[in-house]
Amino acid sequence: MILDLLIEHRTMYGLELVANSRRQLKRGTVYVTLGRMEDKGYITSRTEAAPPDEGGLPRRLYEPTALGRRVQAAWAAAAAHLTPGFAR
Amino acid sequence: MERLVDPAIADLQADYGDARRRGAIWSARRVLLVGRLAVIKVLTLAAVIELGDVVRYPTATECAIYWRALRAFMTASIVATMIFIAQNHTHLDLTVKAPRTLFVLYLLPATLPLSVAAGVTFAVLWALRTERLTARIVGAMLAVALLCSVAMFVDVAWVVPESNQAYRELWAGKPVARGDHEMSLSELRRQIALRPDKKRRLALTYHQRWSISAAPLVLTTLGLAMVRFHCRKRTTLLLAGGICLTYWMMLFAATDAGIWTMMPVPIVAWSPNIASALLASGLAWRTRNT
Repeated sequence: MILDLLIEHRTMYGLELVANSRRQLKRGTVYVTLGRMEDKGYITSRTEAAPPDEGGLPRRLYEPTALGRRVQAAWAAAAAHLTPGFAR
Repeated sequence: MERLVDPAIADLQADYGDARRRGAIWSARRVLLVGRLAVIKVLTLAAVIELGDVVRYPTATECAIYWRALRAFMTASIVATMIFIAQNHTHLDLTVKAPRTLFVLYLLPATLPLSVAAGVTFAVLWALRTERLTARIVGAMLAVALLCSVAMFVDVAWVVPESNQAYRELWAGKPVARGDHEMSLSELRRQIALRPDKKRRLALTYHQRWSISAAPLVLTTLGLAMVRFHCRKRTTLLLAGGICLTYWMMLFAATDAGIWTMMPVPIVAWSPNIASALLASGLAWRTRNT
């Protein structure tokens, strides 16, 4: 789900992922999932420079890695292969 | 932490800022509330993950500390349990024809809350007496104390009433009516509503069940504050013993105060924990810069 969204939009914030997930992702857990995916090398992240007129922490942007894209493609292919079998 | 919690806070700030710029005050407040709840959830998950790392990848120093804490915990808990059982055993009628081991077995659950509280106090002070406190060690100690408190709540809420009743019936040799200490929490609540003449005593028993379950967590916090404030190798055992003894004396004093004075029962029942928590806060405040 996260990889699908990131591949579709290229880069996103955690909150954008939640907003675009049609309630499938939760605000309280998405950052932990993103952290784990980053540890596994599926995605990468960078902090965005905060706007100069505003205080607060810089936001973190997430994007898929080449490995993440390959994993998502493999997963999609496996799902496409298995789904007719399950449907029978 | 930086990768988990900071993005959640940054997104919350941005989301809140957007809502404020749009002039949607109520929407901004809702965003703030939902965002704060999400940050709390992320913090909790981050703490659990950190604790998992502490358990899975401990350093050599941490391993040594945990083993020392475990040994101190076991020794102190067993000694305290034996003292409590021996103290109760002296009242045992020798003419009762039942195996002594059964009496000991039935007494065990009732002694556990205090002996586990003593165990964690000795464990914290003994294991950390010469160590520098790190966030990982403090987190691990508090997590274990929390688990002990949850286990003690299960013990006092469900196990102790049954074992106490079994003990009384073994003593009497026939079925006997349940007393205050043999009732479950729900039964105590019902009796408080039904028996105005015994309301105060029943309410005290009810609140003390909750309060005593929290003892391991409170005493661990106090032990950690003591370690930071002043802990010398030679005085560790004395300090741990002093904390336990003072806590037990406060517990007895609270029981008397609950029965014989008109002070609010929940405050009286929780007073040993409140006093210990206040002392821990005071010590933590004094050592905030160390």
